[in-house]
Amino acid sequence: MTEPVPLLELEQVAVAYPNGRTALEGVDLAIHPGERVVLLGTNGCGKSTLLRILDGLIPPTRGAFRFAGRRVDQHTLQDRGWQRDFRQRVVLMFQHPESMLFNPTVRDEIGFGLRHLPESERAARILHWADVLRLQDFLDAPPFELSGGEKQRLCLACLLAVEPEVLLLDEPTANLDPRTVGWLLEWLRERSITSVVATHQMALVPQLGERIVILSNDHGIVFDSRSAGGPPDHDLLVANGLAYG
Amino acid sequence: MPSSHPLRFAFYLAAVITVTLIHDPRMLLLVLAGLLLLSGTGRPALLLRAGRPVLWILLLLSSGILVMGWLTGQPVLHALLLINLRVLVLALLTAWMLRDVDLDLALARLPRVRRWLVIVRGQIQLFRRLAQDYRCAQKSRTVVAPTMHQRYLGSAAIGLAALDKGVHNAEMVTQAMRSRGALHD
Repeated sequence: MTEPVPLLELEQVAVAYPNGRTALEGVDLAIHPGERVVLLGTNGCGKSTLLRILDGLIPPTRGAFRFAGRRVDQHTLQDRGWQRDFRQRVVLMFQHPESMLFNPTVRDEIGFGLRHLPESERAARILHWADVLRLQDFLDAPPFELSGGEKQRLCLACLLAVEPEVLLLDEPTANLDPRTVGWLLEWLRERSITSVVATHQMALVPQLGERIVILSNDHGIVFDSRSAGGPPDHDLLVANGLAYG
Repeated sequence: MPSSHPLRFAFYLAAVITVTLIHDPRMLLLVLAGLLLLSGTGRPALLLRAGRPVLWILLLLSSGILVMGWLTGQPVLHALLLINLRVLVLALLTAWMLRDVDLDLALARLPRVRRWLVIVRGQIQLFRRLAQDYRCAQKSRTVVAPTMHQRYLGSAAIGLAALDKGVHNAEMVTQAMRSRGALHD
């Protein structure tokens, strides 16, 4: 029986910044539809870079990134039709919500990814997600006037309103209040959406996903629960700066 | 002055271009007087708002022109009046635009430009907060008043950090816009 085609696949991916600093080295990762991956690693190990590659924002310096079996390279990234389809299917929540907000009002911000929809459906979805993420009182306010937590809720609303196939989240719970964290965990659990979540909050790991991937300080994958057949042990977490002991 | 915001903004843009094409100080003086006349109530406040940010620049430029005139023996009155009046008129126009033009309304028909405007506003707010945080942190961490040299080094470090943050922010915003499909409409 042949192995199904992964939705997201990295093959021997390496990324080096212009200043020569290595962000990722020799990363192999295949993520299948419906998988919920939690990405762990210390600061600066390359989690955000990995998410950006998966979102087609940074091309790997070496190796290949494939989405649904198709290689994503500079040529693909210039194809507007492909971009449109990809951007509807894969979304990324940035670590700092300020980066993501560029529309005059909260209503415009949520509706930004829905411009292809008929006006009535668009308006209904905006109201739905504003209601779900408790933003209904700010619909006509400028996004940059919101608090940190409200901005993060708004970013979530913007991305979830698109109804993507793949959700890439970079430290999504950093600014959220416990109520919204609880809601997000439940929402992720109830859906079969493919997700890759980078986090430092070890207590949330079991609820964020079933598959755990650890990036080492050497910028490569040092542990993958899929191939290891179980969760990482305490010594491995300590060795990679993810636990104290 | 035009009544609708898009018209006011168009007037502002046209006026800025026109002012840069005028090379006669007497004409610029007339424009300045006309602008003050048309700017309505709150004229002194507007003049203060326009003059304050450019005062030191004008003093520095004027000193430079005077020194050059003294060294070369050339008459400098024309250049002196031209540069001072032009900068003042441009500053007054901009102060008027900031006071009387609602840019959201002015750019309502240009959603892409409006998006850039939102980004600029967001970044201004971010840097304002950053500057405020730096000031507070400095105050909080100062046990003994810093020397001029330390102040200079501190300011240079803050300037570099702000520049670095600006470049980083620009990269992040561009990536986020691309990620959300804003760059391939």
